[in-house]
Amino acid sequence: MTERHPDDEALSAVLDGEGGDDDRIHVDGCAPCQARLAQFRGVSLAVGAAVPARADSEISAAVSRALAAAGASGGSGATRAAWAPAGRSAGRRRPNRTPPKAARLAAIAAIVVIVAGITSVIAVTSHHSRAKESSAASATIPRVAGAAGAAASAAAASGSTTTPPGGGPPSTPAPRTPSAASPALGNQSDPTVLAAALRAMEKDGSAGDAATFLSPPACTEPAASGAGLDPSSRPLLVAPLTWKGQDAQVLVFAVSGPTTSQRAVVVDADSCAVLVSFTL
Amino acid sequence: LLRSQYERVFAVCRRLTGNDADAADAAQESLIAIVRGLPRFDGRSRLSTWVYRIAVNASLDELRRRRRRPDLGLDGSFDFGAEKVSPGGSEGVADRLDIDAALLRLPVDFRAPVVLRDLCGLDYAEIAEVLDLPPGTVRSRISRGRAALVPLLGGNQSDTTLRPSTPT
Repeated sequence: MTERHPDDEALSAVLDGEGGDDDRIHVDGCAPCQARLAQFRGVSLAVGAAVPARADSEISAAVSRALAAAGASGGSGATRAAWAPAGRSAGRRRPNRTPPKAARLAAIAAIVVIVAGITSVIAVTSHHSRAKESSAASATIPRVAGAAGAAASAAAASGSTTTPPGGGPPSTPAPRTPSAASPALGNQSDPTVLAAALRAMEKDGSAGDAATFLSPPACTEPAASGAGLDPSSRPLLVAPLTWKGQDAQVLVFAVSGPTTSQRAVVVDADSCAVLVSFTL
Repeated sequence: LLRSQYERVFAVCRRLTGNDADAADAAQESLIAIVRGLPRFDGRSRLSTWVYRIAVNASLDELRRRRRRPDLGLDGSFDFGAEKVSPGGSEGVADRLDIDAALLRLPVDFRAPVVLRDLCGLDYAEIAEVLDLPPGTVRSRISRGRAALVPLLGGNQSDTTLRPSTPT
């Protein structure tokens, strides 16, 4: 038996089967150390007590939501390392994660709308004189963007997801439009919760996943004004959401000053009226 | 695979977050991270270790987001205040409440290794891998975490009067 009592760290290691032989031998013949070891064992048993099992239905729902959410975000390619959980969303409960079937249907609907938009643009441009063909072509971008944006908004409102169509990069930096992450914003009513969702979106990188050729959204100017910024400010991020039951958009602007910050503005999707704005 | 992992993921999240609602959220995020990360899981660690790491990170993320329990300092001085949880009975609900309340009083840096050891049964090396800590730090934190939990669960804080550190 060692002459000195093992300290708590050594005793704890003995309990875990990771202590030294000398310490184990000491404890075997030392009543005070055995008493201390019994206290640690009591703690260990309490911490290790079984957590109540979850209902099968709850597990099934959680698994379905995980598969849907992971699939909607475009698979593993755009996500961070597995040990750094990503894809945070805003709501306390997230019962509305899109089922895979609905997501597929929404994606198909979005594609149909986009094709229809492109078709109409082609019809319009062909109707114009050849002399204006180049300018008409450049106007194609916002028109297609409008169709894509409508599809994204519709998909977001239905709780489903769409994958943004591919396309050439904009001639000027466009706001990030995280179509994959937008459904995660869901129905919001609390600026604090929405701020957390936006920060999470930025943190997990989902806001930057979507390549976009969208032109600045129509609500940029009133939103910037509502945030007390120069109306010509460009948003860093635009995402559709439902604010207290009505279709809306959230735009995030960089605010320069003594300290750099960001300001989020939620506007009505139709009227662009500012519903709420807050600093992130 | 996800179904088989859910129980262990939820258990870790439950112990670390201290309530069912936060644990469900953290477990949900864990499952999503597992689905996304599986294609890149290289098998260098055990699947369970990898899953635990995800669950711990999701729980920490949840705790940060909720900001329900600001962590106490890690300078070794546990400030448990006067609110001592009642000594544990033997019935399930009372025990769970007690252990949850007690665990939440531990800084999460101590809580996580204790939970991984006593709930999940990981050895020190595995816990070190999950938490990205040296094994010696794991050993120390488990010990200090347990020592802090003893009085919270109704035991005496220390037996130093019985176990003087002087040679016997």
